[in-house]
Amino acid sequence: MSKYIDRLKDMKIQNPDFDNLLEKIEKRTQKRNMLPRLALAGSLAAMLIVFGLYFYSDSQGQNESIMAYVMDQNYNNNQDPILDFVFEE
Amino acid sequence: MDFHEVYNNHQKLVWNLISRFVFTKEDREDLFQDVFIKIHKALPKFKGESKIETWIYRITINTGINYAKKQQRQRFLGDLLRKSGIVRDKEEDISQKVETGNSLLKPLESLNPKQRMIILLAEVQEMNLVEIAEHMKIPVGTVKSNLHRAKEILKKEVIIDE
Repeated sequence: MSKYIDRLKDMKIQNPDFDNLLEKIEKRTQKRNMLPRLALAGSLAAMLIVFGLYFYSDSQGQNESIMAYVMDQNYNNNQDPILDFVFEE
Repeated sequence: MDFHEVYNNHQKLVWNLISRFVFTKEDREDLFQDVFIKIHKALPKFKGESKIETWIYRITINTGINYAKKQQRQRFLGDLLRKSGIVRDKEEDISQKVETGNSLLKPLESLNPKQRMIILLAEVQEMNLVEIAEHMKIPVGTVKSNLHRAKEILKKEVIIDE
């Protein structure tokens, strides 16, 4: 057993290309640093899309509410609210 | 402290420990990179309360044990999938991956990651029980019992090999 430990201690260790490994480490750390930025950019883009959709649907909603208002008017044979609205436009 | 300075001054210390801890060139290089990525990340927080070597040893030990545990889990899952026939038998047993010329490391395979790390720190790095306990953040008694168990297992393996 002690012989085995001695051989283990004396085992020749072949060094790798440390410069090449450093390059790989730097690449991986740069990727790691990019991740939070990408996440931030992604969330900003998502927020913009949400805001855009909100305002878009809001404006759609306005049109809908005008139409709803027009459509909700009591039907009058003498006055066609829809056609009046269209012709007024 | 500059990362490049830390890297240049301690690359051999890390390499020496992990080259006996994992058995293939790919694993060594992967683990080496993992260790230095952790060092790079944690370096701004290093306040110098302990020696830089102690701090680096601690990171290397923790990263190494986690790496080996992950490997064990993957191997277990691979074996399970192969046995159940879901995956074709590739015979990627770690014993076959141990580099030629390094049959010396083969007996270490039979130890679990913690035991393997403890025996390397005690016998190769020549640390005492208290130092190992400090580095691994475990009680001295645990170090002692693991070291004893590791020696018992190794004895059997070495006899079988001889």
